Amino acid sequence: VLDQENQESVASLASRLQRLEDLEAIKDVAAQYALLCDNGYDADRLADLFTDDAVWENPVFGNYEGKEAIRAFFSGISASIVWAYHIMLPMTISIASDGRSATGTWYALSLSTQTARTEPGGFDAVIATADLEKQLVKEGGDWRIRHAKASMHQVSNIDEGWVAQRFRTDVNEAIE
Amino acid sequence: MSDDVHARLAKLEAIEEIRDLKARYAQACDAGYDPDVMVSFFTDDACFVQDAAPEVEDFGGARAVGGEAIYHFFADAREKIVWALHYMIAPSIEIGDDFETATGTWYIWMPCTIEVEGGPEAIWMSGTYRDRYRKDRGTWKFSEIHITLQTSSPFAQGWVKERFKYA
Repeated sequence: VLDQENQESVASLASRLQRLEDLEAIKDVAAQYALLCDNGYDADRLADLFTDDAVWENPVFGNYEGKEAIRAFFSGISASIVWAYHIMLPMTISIASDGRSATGTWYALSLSTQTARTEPGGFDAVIATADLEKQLVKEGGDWRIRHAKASMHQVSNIDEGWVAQRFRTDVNEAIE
Repeated sequence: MSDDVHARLAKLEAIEEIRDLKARYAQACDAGYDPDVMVSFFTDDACFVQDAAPEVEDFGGARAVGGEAIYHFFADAREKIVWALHYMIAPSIEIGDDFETATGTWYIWMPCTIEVEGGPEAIWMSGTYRDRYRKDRGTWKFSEIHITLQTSSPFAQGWVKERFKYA
């Protein structure tokens, strides 16, 4: 039988452990997100990473509200992005004291092949950098994204580079 | 409760040990692929499989099974890849309930110099790993590395003009 002090110590250990497990699980959500994007934008499984009321914001690709709108966006994007490779670097993750919500930031580097802007039927090799901010909530045992916001630093054809061509398309807002 | 805490801690510790294995593997690759060092990261019956994304045609790939074959694979890499930096990114590691086996996925981003006919060439190498791990006398080792390459593109041309230079 544990005395009271020992019971408190086990409870404290369990909550510290839970926090470490949640950090792992949240990093895993971003890793899975990249893998699904880079597997031809698997829209159904990507949508499952989001809550029903999720918001996805991106100055290049637009803003989408709700899991269904996000699914529809992803199912259409592979027509113009025919190959992609997303590198996600976790930066900061902060979990609320009740363990039910979290915010995190990532640096992202993506390489992609996209339909050319100027040459019909052609393709551009594109390199893009962004910082990402995500709000996540725990639904049952699973962390899901409630709000994803990307700030794009540059999206450039690699033969132009980011000095000559910071953005290859129009953008709504960018980091200044 | 207490048993549960021990098991959960053991999983987190195992994940850290596997990340460390991958880091030491990367550093050994980048220190020149010494084949004696490389084989020490693998179980005796391990296999190393290299293929390419399904849309890439005519990629021969490689498959090395067992310590001797893996030794020769890296002895060959040592000759061809004269400089590389293996960035190992976004691990997603799952520890088996037996605490003796595990699986993991990673991204790799690897700028490198490959020695070809006509001299050394700067290459953008990228891909994803599906690994299997097994505890071997108390130490986590690779029982399988399966790398699927996404690009092997000359720096100057990029992956649209030449996605796979070395196929």
